[in-house]
Amino acid sequence: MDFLKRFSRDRVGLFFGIVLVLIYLVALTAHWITPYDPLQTDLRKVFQPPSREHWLGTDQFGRDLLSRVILATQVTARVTGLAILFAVVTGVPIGMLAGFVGGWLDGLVMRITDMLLIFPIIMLAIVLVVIIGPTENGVIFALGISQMPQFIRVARGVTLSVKEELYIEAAVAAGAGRRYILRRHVWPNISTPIIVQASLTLPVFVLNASALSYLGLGVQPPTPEWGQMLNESIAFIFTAPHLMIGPTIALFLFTLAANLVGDALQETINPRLKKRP
Amino acid sequence: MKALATAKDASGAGEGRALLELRDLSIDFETERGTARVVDRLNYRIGHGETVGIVGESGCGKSVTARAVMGLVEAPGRIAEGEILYRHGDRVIDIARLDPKGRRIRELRGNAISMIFQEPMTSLNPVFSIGDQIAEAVLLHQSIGRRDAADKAVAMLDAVGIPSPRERARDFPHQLSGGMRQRAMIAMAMSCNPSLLIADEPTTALDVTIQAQVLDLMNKLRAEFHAAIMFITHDLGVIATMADQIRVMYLGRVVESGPVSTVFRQPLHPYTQGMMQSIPSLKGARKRRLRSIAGNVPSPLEAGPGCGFASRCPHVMDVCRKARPALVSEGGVRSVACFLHHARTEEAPHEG
Repeated sequence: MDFLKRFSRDRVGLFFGIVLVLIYLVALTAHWITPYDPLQTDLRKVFQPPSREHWLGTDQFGRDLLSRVILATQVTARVTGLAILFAVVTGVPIGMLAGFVGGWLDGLVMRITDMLLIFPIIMLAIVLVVIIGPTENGVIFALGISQMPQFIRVARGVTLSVKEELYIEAAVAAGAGRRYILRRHVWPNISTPIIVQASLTLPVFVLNASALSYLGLGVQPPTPEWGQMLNESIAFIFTAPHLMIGPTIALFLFTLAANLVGDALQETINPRLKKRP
Repeated sequence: MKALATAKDASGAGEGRALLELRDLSIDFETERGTARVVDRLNYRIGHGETVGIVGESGCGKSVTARAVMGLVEAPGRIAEGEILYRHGDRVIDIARLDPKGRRIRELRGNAISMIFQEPMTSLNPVFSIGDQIAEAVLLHQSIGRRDAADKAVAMLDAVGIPSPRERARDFPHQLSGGMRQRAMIAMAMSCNPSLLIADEPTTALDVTIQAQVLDLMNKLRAEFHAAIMFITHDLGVIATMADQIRVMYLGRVVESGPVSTVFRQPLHPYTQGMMQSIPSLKGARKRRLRSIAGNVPSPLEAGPGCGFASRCPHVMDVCRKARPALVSEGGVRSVACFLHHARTEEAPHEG
């Protein structure tokens, strides 16, 4: 409750928090709220401009664009969510272990993450998708791996500082083992910065998932994705410019909302900026 | 063979079956400038239910000895030689030989031997309520249900004199004062009925009135739980109220030991005398300047062949710089390591 109160003091964060919640509501209920079947082609109704029946118009196959944007929202939310989950689930334990054990293991893990961090995220993701194959799972894996180093670093950093706390020594003196200490003492301290990091990673993933699919390396047609829809619309940019309205606005809103909410979240709960409640 | 048997029983304490016995315990620290021997062939015993006060200034090896007993000596430190014999039930366990990360030492820690630290402000995890933390400590060693452990935590908080323990158990560490936190730490340490409690300067961080309350509490608990206490401090006043036996440490060695009353009434070692004189007295002339011990503790890296205190000792003799006095029994119950009191009992020379 205290958290909500402090969070809502940030008006911008609150507004875009609501936007983000709405986006996820759309994603969750996509199958029920699409006005038309997003995959149903109708060659009698191609390239229709926005109208009362089709708010965003129709595309080159006569498919309803609003329905496609809505379904694409679900695809994006799922892909980015699972990619973050993947990065957290693999990165955090590695980082905690590296930080806690230290020594050569720490050195090895840090050098590998340094190497991964050299590559821009999109480069790494492209290479990985090409290796794994351009499927939804491929994109999730590629995005997850490309941001895993960030989570390793955050988890390691917090573990390093928590490890030196006297209560860890007190726990050792009370007979606790290494696994117990990691689970019961290190993890609760780590969760906050991880949540912040995850919220900051979300817009990056949204953009990059779309970029991948724009390049034809993401989710494959006929499943819609914003990037892929934008790519298709380029061919008709002069004849039917309305094709790019939907995906552009959706992408813009999702990225902006995720970014601003991430910032607001960080300011609200980052333990470095504020004392723990 | 080893560093003479002289010191063995001079420690006075528990005849026969001691709870804890250190035998020739030496601890080295590897530094860039060489090996520093911070604890040098320490011998002493702690009997069942006995409180032994260990005094000495910073860096004399008192805390690292306590850590060694917990199996907590970490790199760059290591136990170079000697035994730490702990009587656990009918068995005698040499803690110095246990794997410091192994299961056997973990079964002792917090269970048979527990420890309270100097800093109550940071010894508790800020994200758990104190009741949870005590319950966790109980659950580590006893196979009882969560609810029973929570009840035990409340009972322990009650035992250490925390008012309305059931409500306080739900408090987080930052909601408690320093004295309350130290009580909670003591509750946690006593929750598994340890037979040895190591208190590493438990009252140093507390103000004087709270200090007195915590000391009273420890005295009360000692009687209640029949635990032996290894009480580490640099405060002689605290030793006077708490301990039965005193070990004065200087540069990693015991220089004087005996019952507190005897040693306080008549300190034999010049270092102990110096410490006693540096306490302000309520009686006598007020205008006299308080005496201090001249000089500084020499680095353990620069240990010469002689007595470690020779460079600061007001009664230093030629022999003090050439040989190291052994801890020799002085009239039965007490012992002292000083050539002033026993003509020429040198320790066997050792490489170090």
